[in-house]
Amino acid sequence: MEWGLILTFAAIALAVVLPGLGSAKAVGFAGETASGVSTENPEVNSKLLVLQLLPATQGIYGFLIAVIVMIKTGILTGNIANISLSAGVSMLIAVLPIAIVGYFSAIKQGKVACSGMLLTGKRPEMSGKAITMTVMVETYAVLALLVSFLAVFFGVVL
Amino acid sequence: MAIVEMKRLTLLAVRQDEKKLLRAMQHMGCVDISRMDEEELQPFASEPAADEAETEQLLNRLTWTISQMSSYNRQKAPFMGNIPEAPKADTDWVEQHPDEMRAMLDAAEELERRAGEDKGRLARLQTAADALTPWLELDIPAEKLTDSKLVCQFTGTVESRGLSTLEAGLSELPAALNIVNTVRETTCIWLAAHQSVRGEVLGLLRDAGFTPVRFQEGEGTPRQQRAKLEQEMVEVRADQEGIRQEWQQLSENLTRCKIWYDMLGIERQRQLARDRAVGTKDVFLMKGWVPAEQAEAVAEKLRSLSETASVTVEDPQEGEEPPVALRNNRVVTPFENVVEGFAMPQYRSMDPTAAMAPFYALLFGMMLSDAGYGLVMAIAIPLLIWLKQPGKNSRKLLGLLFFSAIATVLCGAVYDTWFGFNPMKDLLHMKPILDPINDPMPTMIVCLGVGVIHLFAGLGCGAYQNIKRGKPLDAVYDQLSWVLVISGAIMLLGGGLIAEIGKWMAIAGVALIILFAGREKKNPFSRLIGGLGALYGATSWISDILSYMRLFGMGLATGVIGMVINMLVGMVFQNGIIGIILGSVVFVGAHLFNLGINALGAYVHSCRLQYIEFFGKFYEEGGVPFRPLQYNTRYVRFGAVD
Repeated sequence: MEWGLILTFAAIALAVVLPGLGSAKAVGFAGETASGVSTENPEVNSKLLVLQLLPATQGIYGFLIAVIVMIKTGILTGNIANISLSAGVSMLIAVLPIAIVGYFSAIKQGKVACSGMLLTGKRPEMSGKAITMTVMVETYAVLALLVSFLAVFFGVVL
Repeated sequence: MAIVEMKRLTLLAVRQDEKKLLRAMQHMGCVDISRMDEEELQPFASEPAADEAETEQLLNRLTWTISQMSSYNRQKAPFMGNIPEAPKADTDWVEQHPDEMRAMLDAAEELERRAGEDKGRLARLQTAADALTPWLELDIPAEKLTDSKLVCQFTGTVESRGLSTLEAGLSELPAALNIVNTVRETTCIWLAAHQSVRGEVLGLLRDAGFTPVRFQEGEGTPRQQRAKLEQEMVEVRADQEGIRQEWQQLSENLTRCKIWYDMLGIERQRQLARDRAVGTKDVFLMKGWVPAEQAEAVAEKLRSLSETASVTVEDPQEGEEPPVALRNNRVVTPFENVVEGFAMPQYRSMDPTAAMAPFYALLFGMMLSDAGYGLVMAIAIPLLIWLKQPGKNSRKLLGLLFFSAIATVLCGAVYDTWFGFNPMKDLLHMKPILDPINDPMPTMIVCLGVGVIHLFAGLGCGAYQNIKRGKPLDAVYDQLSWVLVISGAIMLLGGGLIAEIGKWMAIAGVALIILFAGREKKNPFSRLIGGLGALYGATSWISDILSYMRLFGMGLATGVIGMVINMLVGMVFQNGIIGIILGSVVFVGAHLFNLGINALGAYVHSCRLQYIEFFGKFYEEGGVPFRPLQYNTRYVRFGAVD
């Protein structure tokens, strides 16, 4: 197998693994907080579920980039293009924004979601603000997603 | 289509009529009674009346009883806030039998006390029975284990490893050792010896680590004692079963308890409203806010109920902040939820709901961006409303999602995405209007363009507020200037004549901002500094516009995941009949998952774009929500109450 292809697979793996890990972690501890708050105030449970799911998107963004890489290189359709070494390296670098920002922003977003849950538990009418505060963090994941997408789609020359 | 106009209602009446008047106001449900906390009125502030503590206590006891009863009588939880109407027969019964209802609470608490006692007793009996277990083989009744003139007896445990020494020591003495049982490291023994060697025996026992055991359960052999304990346990368990059955019976009254809870809750709301008023022993003074449309009707009704009452209706005065209620037409009303989820607007600003509603639906549609998903929602939601009759708040949310779903169908058609398939491209071999996966640039430009229009709409709202307040020039300085700068900057990208016009528009806008943004300041120099500072706000414009890139990202996510699902299902489908069945299940499940997670994403991100980007341009939050005295119930609705 050629190095270009190997590096492309490394890029796919990074794009899925890191944001996925971050989202899983964040959704996990947000879920723990949600059950804790629900024992005190069961009526806000549905609002908590929304907050819990917010840091899940980074994992989806990483997956999205991985699929885009697979579309671009033909892995998805079965006729794999000839990928040069430099294209492989570029591919690996191009996925780094979503891989790294995805991981850390998911965890940070999960933490904001947790404090938002405590806020919602005490003052249910503030749930809109709690969601907004949590979504703020996501902006950076969206920016990283776009840069990774543009770089993979337009930047990398096979 | 606006913030409801409020009137100040002032009511001065005699105490005898207080209950009657409060009831009438609660029935009309449109008076928000304000707390009167002016300092000079404090000496007349209402003390909570005696019956309030009692109501509060009853409510607490009922909350507990209802939660207990609910574990025996599983009534179906109301679906999405669709609380049932109170059965007339039960309502009448509760009204006519207050003593029985109180007795029911007492009975419930008595059952709880008994259950606690039983639990303690059972634990105690179990411990005693366990302690007896090693001694079952000892067939000497406890009352015979006492010393006589000639013989002394010992029952207890020794350490097993000291047993051989003990046996050896005892073999030379007039004593008999009986090993009853061995439990791991300890051995239960019974020992009889002649009184003359008591001292030596005690010494030997001490060396073996002897701990005496007394059978405290009275007479009989350990086996008999244990049987007695077990008998008692059976009795306690029977009592527990009895308690369960009594709970079962008692919880037949769950509906009545719930009705009573809500009746008391309604009464409590009246009491709380009364506490906000001031008064003396004979008269009271109450102030509240009424929507202007109903004000005269309310005043008339109150006057008709109490001849001596003085009721006045006035416009709100300068410096007073009336509470805020939003009123919109049927299409826009569901979107009030989005505004209320953020914060109420100030009374003297504007209701942004109508301006926001079409954008909300559009942004949602662009993010969910699958026409198939939109169709599913647009069909499922009316069905849900029709079949399940959800409560008012859920109905609003469903309405919001319904209009968003229709926008999703339109956006999905533009993106040519139906359940992850691209029929226009694959079947008709036509180029879709926008193709985010294969040709992303046009879609991105459209997303940012929608963002700019959304933000300009925000500026439009700001301008409207300024003009309404009689400051049309402010609208030019604060809003038009930015429209000029931003649209000018965009036109610069166009090239040719357009770029030339754009350049001058941008320059005019910048000049307006530098010259007038700091117009509050008298000193011309600090005014200029203020203007330059405002110009720095251009950076926030860039981040605001870029923020709309999420429309592209979220839309792409739905489409790509849908595509991957279809690809996987296609592979599964190739495996004969089992493959087709399995594939169909996967297809439905996976698309539902994709719909769910992306609809949630679209919901929260549309909210965010409204709250941060759109509202950031004009919104004046900080209004107090209008909370009239009305029938707020938790479990049941009352059809018609006096």
